[in-house]
Amino acid sequence: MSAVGDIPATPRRRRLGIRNAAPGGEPPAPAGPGGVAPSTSRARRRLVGRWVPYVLSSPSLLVLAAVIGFPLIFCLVISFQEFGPYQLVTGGPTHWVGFHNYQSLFTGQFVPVLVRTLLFLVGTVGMTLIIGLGMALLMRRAHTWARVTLTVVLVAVWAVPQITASQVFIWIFDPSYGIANWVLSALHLGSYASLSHEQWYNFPVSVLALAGTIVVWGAVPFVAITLFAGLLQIPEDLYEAARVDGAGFVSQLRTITLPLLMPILLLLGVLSTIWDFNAFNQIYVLQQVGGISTETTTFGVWAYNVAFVGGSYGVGGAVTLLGVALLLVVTGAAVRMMVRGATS
Amino acid sequence: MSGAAGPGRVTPDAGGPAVAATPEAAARVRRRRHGSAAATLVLVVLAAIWFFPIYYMLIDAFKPGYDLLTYPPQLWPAHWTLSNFQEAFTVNGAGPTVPQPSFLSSLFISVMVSLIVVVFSVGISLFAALATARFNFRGRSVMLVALLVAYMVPFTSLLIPIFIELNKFGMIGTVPALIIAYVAPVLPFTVWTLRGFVASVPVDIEEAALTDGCSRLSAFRKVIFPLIAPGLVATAIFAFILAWNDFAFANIILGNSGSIFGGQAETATVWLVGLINPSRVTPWGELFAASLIFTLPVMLFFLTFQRRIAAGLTAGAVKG
Repeated sequence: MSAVGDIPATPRRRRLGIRNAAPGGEPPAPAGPGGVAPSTSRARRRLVGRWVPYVLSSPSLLVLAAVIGFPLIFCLVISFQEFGPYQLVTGGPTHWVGFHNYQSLFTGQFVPVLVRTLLFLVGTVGMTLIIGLGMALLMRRAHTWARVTLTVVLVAVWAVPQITASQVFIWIFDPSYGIANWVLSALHLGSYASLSHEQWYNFPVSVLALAGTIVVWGAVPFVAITLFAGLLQIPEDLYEAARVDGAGFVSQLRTITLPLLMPILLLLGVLSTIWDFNAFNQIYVLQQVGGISTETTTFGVWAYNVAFVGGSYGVGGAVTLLGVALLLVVTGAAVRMMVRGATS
Repeated sequence: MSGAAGPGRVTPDAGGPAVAATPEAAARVRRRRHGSAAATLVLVVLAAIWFFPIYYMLIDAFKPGYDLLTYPPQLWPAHWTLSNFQEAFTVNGAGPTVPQPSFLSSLFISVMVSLIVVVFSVGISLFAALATARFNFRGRSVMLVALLVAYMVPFTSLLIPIFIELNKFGMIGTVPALIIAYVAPVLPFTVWTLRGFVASVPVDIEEAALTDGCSRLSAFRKVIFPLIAPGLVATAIFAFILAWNDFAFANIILGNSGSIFGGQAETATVWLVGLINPSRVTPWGELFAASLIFTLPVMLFFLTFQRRIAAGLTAGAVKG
């Protein structure tokens, strides 16, 4: 079921099309259950008609155009307008302001938010992939019972909603009764009194580190499970041959595991980047507890705060589009490879 | 998950060269057994770390209030109680003085909205998945790229324009508005994932059915559908969870002004977030009892269907 094993079979799928009926005359088919006159399957397929795929796709495409295409265009429009609470409530006239919204972003929060988001992204995606890969490699070598235990735990973690996860971590890192403080003081890594509310929740670095921890905790299961499924597709013979040739763990990883896992790693990297770039729930809930938001805002919460807290929907639209553009730049090369894989 | 990685599998296969008899092979066997024990230990530690937050939520849901606010914290409850669950259904999001939606009505709203979104999205995306996976037609590539772009457009980016649009129609604060909004992130996901499942059904099987006289429709009904049914279930579960877990859309579009059973209503996530309020002491016991009720059904679904879900998420994106 995993991607590695199925990639070679890809081109075959395209053979079954109306225009690409299988070559060679097929024997006349017997009558169908409905008592239809016998005919070749080639003729049957022609009966379906060229319009069929369009009809099949049209409901989804129309709905997608309405709920994604149109809103994105609308977002572009309002990003060049002054669109505040007045326009929202009264439907009153909107003013075209040219690039003013974008200008105000670039002279304002853009650079700090960008740097913060990229650092957050590198930390969370990097940790997620490293821990996920490490778990997958260990699962291959560990006893079955340990592997099954970890799988069950990972699936359970995967199922925990982000909101719930954030709230549990807030409780774990509670300044007065949290277990994190107790562990830290038991390990003499800091006195209990010094790890106050201010230090956990009012420092941008610790708030984002905490948010990153929640993100990574929740993101590792999918990555580890998918990578383990990918590892199982790699023939054991390859490793055996490498061992015979005297290759150690590192060179096996470098020459066999990583190259063969690359398509999956690439996909997981892209998905993780998209998800973590837009991490909202974890940061939002922490901001609600800590009270500081300006210093902890990443792209995921920036548009939300600008539009729904600040009331500047036009500027929020500009933030949204900048975010989408940035994401395209960051994941562009990988996405192009995936598109090529899907359409070739 | 075959036994290929099992601990007992020291040599690759029985048919291989009989190297186990040589001293080097014996050393290798020892090394691998040793590595296996170390790997097992690390794995168990990692499993414990990853499980801890769930464990902590679980036991704290059963601790009475005076056991929750203790230092050092109790890793095993000194007293067990079910009162948190009872209070979760009676406590109000904003405290006892302000009438607020109840947890029960919030759960009801979440279930209803998520179900409607999933049935609608899976229903119409099945056709699109079939078209893009099984037909070769002009514009197919463009459609695939458009679908991928739609799939990649971040969930939260659509919040502002969808909010303003729904506001124009006076729908903010209504349940249908939330349903419409959720279709935006859910539909590209269901189309893309189902497409992967349809594509993974070997064409030969369908060819055979067509050759045996099945019409295209009955070939779909009798051959493809049974084969993708488990994938369909997994897709539906994951789509359900996209809506079920969302907070941002629910908070902005529905807020707590939805209406159900003649009272105010919000989704379960908004209700849960409302319990943490810096201006008062957080009722942690009730919060975790409610979180548990909110999380457990999803967890059971995941544990049942996890392989399909994991496969589906990647199948759509990698398979051609």
